[in-house]
Amino acid sequence: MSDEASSSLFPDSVRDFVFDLHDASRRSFIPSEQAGLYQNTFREITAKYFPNTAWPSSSAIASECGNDPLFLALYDELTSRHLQSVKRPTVRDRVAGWRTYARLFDLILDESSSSTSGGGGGEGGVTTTTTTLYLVPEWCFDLMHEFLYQFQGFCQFRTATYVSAARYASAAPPSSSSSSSDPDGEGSGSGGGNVGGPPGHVVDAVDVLSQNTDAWAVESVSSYLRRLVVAGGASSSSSSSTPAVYRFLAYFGSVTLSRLECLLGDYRASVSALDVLYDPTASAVAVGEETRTPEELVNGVFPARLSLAYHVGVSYLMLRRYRDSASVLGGICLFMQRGFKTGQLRKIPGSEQFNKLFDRMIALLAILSHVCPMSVIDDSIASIVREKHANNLSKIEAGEEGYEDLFVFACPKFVNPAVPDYGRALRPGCPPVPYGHDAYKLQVQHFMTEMAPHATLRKMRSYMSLYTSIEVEKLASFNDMKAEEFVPWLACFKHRMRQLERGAAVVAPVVPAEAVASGGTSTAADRVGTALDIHYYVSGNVVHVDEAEKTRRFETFFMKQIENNNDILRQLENIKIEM
Amino acid sequence: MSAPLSHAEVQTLLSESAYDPVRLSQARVLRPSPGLAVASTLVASESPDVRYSFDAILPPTSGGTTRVVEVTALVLLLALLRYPDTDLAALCCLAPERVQSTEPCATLVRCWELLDSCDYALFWPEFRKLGIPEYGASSSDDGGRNGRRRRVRRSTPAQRRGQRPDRVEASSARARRGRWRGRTARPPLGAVLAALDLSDVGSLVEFGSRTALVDGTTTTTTMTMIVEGVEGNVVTFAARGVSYDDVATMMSKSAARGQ
Repeated sequence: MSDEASSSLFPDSVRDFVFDLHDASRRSFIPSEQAGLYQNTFREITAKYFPNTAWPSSSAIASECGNDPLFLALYDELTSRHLQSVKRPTVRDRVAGWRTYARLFDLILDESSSSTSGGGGGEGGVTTTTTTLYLVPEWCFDLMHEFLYQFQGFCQFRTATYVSAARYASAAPPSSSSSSSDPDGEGSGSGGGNVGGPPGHVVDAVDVLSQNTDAWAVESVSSYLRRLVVAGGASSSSSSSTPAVYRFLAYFGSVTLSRLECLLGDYRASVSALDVLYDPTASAVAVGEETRTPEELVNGVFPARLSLAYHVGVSYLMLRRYRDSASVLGGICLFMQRGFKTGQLRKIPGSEQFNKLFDRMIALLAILSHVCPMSVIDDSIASIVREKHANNLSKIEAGEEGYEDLFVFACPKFVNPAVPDYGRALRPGCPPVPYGHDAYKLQVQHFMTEMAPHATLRKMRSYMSLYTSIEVEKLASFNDMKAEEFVPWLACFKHRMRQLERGAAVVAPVVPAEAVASGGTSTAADRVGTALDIHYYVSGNVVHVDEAEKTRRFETFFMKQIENNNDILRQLENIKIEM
Repeated sequence: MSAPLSHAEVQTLLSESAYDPVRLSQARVLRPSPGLAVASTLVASESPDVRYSFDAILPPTSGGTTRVVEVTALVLLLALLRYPDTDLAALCCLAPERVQSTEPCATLVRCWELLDSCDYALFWPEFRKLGIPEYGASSSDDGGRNGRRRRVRRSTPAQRRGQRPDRVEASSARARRGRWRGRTARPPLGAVLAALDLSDVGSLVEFGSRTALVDGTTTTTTMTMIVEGVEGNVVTFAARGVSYDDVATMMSKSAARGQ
């Protein structure tokens, strides 16, 4: 009765949507139809009937999809994603979110292990004899992206809850005999019934977190992502027989895994997580009627491409791979700049976040252009960098602190996966911050340690570029040092600019941004190169210097003039002359 | 509490099993396998789950020293001995600040910082604070070899611990410093001796005769002694296939072309 009663409480359009979406994802597998339902119809119905409220529960609509557990899990994920975007989630909502994703991924992984290879074609879609699920790439990425977003939010939430509880516990009066009716003397009840103790909602949150320490455990989050990569055959050569949806989940899973590792501070793992995308032995994946390489698949979903570029750019920066970082970030910024001008990016859902991320990447490029003198970014992006961050860069030139401001603005919200000791949070005298939870501070501090020598190195470089040979003592005096103090800096400069680079070891002075931004390579192809734009060596007590020859590029000028000429000719042809 | 799982068992558990809170709690009681194997895994950086388990599950012991600190110190030491082939910066991004500031990790991080800034002369006194058995280093322990005073972090002498490697390959570590210097310079003799913690020309020549650059292919391997010679006050390191005189000639030609 409850189902019948509840089913009459929501509009027919909702019932139709659920039925159609179930059909598109479990029976007909028509990508265009599913894309329309997922990207357009869902948003329209949400805006019309549920702008600030939850969709009907999965039990209420179960009859429309034949009580299909996997589809109901997908529906739960979709609707809870909407709810968390309009309402601040409580601790129970967060834990429930974890249960939703765990159930969904378990069902998907079970389904993938029972499907076998097959072939065939449906009406404009992908149909195999054993495929029982199809999700469009955008849906697959949104699912993975939200999964990690909720993990990140949960890590921040539990740290904030601990800090809040610890603050109140530390501020509580030492004697609690007159303060409460609570037998254990700790904060409890609602509305802050304990005088001087943590408020009720904080105690409740600590209690729920303590009882659900397995929720959003990093081991499980990482495990699901890795298992999805394996299930999709992304790491094996037999991927061509794997149904398309699992391959989508595998590749977007690797992008999400890269993001996870970056947020946890494991930058090498963040970079190597993307090796499956650039595997030359991987077969193409069918997307509707087209086939695409894994990299093209990811680039076809712009939010995925943006997330990949941003997090791998940060990882390269922290790994001291400045050229690679600049090429990745410069490439995506150039693409976005063009997209903003043409308005194409505004059509993509979630585009309001793109501007923020663009600004953050420009800030990172400001750091990189200062640290790595060899330019790999397009002139238009370089001019945007100078325009937005001229103040910060001039502060750095003057010897003031500027890198930290830029990095704090631009870096991701790092998290620590360790579970706090909730039992200590409510006791007076507990640490104000849980052990090891200054993840953000650790990364910023590490970055500043890396940047500290660059002021001296930059000054040194500027003097060296003026000479072909100069005595060590003289160069040291320019840098306000004695010769014996200065000699280590000569070796240090070479050492710090010696770095791994993607692809070939031959370093060109200027590399077209798009050429490197679109063609990723796996870490197996990494080679040692140098980001120095001057070459020097020390013989005896003389430094011999040779600046790299600047490559003059004329093709841009000629292309532009040819284009202008064609425009003029076209206008001339359109002029009608009546005589 | 069930018996701790081995590293391989945890990897299998996490990569192939469905989500199960009971099995998850089993994974959480992972105890590090003999330090060297685990440390190698950490240095190879293949299994993030193992690292996070350390941080999450090992509480401070009553003695104030945790297994986290011990294993982290071992990892840092192994990575330091193979520097610059290893990425200590990446390791420091993972170890919590509290661990990095606890001895002996603090000294190891300081050693890395000195190597990274090419302050070789200051590296050796700092490295000796770890208390690793002497390996024939110079008897002088002049922290201010270059006449500078630096604020060196005070630390208690490191205890001999069972998890430390039995043999520190000091000669190989010194050889790496030597190869590193060789990339840049025909440096003055005094700087080379200070950087390699050697006392005189004789010991430098003897060190050079024991250390070689190896260029290998599948069919041929050539070995070149790292120190070509000492002329007056200048040490010449062997550069792989490159003569500094040829480099100087090329550079002067390109400079003339540019004028």
